[in-house]
Amino acid sequence: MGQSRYELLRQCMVRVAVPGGPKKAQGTGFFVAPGLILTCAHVVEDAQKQNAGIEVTWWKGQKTIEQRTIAAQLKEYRAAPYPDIALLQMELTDHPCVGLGEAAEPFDTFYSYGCPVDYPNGDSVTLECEGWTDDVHSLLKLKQGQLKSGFSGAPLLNRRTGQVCGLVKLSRDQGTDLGGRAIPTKTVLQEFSQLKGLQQNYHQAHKDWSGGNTEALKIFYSYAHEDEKLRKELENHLSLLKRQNLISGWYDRDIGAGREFGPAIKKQLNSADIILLLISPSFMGSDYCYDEEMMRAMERHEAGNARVIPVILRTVDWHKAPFGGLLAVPRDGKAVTEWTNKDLAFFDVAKNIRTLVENWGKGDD
Amino acid sequence: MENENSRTRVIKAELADGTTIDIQSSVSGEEDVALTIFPFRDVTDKIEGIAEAVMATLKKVKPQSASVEFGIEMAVESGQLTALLVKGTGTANLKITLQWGDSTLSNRIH
Repeated sequence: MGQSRYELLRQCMVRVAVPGGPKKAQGTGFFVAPGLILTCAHVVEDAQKQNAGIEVTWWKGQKTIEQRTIAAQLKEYRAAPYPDIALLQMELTDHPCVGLGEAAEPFDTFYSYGCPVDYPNGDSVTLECEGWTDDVHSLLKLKQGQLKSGFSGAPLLNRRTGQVCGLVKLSRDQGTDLGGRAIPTKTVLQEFSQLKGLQQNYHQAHKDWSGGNTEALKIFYSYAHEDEKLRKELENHLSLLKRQNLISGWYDRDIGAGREFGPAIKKQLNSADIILLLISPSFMGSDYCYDEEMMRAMERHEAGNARVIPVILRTVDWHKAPFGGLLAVPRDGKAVTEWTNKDLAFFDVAKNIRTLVENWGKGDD
Repeated sequence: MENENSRTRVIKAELADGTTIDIQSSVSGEEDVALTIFPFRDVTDKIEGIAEAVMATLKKVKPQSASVEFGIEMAVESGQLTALLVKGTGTANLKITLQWGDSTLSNRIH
């Protein structure tokens, strides 16, 4: 079973403490590469100035009460007030790493998980992005979330992109949900440029954080009932994406034989992220498929709210249809049943859908 | 420092002997959110500084007797614990009463 991006973020989070220093500072950090933790410089200031030891506590995502406290070394340090970031190194490799992404815009919503004073084993907060401060000492301004002592260094997961776009630095008022400010990922990658390569290597080998979405994308199958068998075969070819929790599929077999454009279908069609039009003579001949589902699908595609992909199942004249301008699959729009090996045709379709899903939200057109 | 923006929060400070105490402190503006223990010495150093400054003035004017009253409020400012000079009794931040006896006064006139 796949895991949600929120759960993965929790598994990447650690508590950072410098118990031997005069400030006895505590904060939060997170894995950005194998054995490497990103946190705020002001959390580990005593380690830099007084050579005090750093302790990192990791829970592996709260699934057990078991926790591991391990010594860490200061690897990189960029002092507060700006950029106020530090990299810690430790002997631990069986952990996940977050995906870093620079994208953040006003009105984005963020999820963060850190170790505040009253819940030192982990607590959640959601925040809204107000925007940026000046470009020289750029900080992300956050509102509508309470940031208490201990949250320094906590990762900010952008719900829209599914990537970590910054780390919490300060609170604008610890007693209310006035929010705070965060150091953007852009600054982190400028200061610690080695992270770009390390991130790329990690995420090429580990696909748990790949794909740009935090929730499974909803796929809607629009098809004629004569093609149910082919639809089922396509679904089998997409089952790994489903197991990875990258997609969830919906088709109308569950709602009975009546093919009127009922509210249940309408709701699914209107909330789908990807709409697959399974094109065949039966599809083109069905008033329902053609006029209702396909037209609505094209409206959503043109409004930028969904992606429509024509999947050519059986040969038919379709090039002049409203979806004729879209990129059809399998390759060259050659119908699945015309391929000598049907599995190869569906594999080609699945590959295209995987590419779309894994790059979702990354700003492709 | 804008007082209308200040709020209070309980913070932890450490005395010279290692004892940790809770202090209700005023907080103003934005603050880094690492959980830290503040050295109480930062406050006592400020109190010493204020007392010494007042004493230096009193030594110049040599009153026969003097009393000084000032109010201190703990405050966290830019992540540092500090002492705010605040209004004590009445409207004064610093209330100083100086007295001279007759003999002192005549000495001073001559």
